[in-house]
Amino acid sequence: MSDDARLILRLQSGDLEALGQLYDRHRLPVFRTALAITHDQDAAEDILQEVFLRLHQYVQRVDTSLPLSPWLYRITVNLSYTYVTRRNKWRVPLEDFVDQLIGPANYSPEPEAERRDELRRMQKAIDTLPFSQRVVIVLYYLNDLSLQEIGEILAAPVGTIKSRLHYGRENLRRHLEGRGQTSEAHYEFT
Amino acid sequence: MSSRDRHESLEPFEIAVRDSLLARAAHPTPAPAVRRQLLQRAARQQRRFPWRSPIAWPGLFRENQTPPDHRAAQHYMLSVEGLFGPRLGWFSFNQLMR
Repeated sequence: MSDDARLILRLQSGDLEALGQLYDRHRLPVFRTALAITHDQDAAEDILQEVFLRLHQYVQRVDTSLPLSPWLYRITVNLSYTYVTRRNKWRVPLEDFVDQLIGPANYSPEPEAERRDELRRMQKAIDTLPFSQRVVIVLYYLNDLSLQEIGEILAAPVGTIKSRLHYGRENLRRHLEGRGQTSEAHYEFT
Repeated sequence: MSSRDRHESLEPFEIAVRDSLLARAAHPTPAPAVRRQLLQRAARQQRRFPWRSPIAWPGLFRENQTPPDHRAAQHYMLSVEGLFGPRLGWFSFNQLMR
């Protein structure tokens, strides 16, 4: 029996200290996934807390014979989706405006500055991806999960995940080359 | 494909994607208050909804009590406290049923 399974059993019998230990074991991947998707530290902390609160609430339904991580990732992605869709309704593209203003002044010929600028442009490009593609890009490149594992987390066939990964990369290339519009229809997140 | 194989087969563009995600995730860690608040909220949740709490369900049918020897058959009695929480005992339940 895995350590997670033992902790889950303790939590099922009402031991809250086990919840703290599960939090310590899984907080970083959950937090970083939420942060990569939402690009908002406060939101990522809220999502992190909510994920483990739901684990406590629904612990009786957790199957201890299965690994816990996919379950946690699934809740993380669902909560991030809720956050992103709510934020996009109200958000003014102020960041774009500010970047246009400060962009030229930020320019520096030094290699380190260029590298930082490249990373920043890539991060901005990732933020522009449709949610369904962004999630796959994050889980694949940041969390190092296989297509099969991502399919299980998102409850989608491997072919669909492969397609989202492909179009996600294409859209990133387009965005970085300044070709604008994203390709592929914007599928609703499932 | 294992993650090691995958890393070896990444194109330069994919490496840039991965590096940018890692750079964003590298420094920030959740504040210590998040853990403390989580445990407080979980404890409150457990107190407020005892019927949903993991510790409420075992013993709901008093399955842990061994029946006295003189009984011919085992009776599964429903524990009202187990179902509705400690504030609603048999007396209150009786009142509700009238």
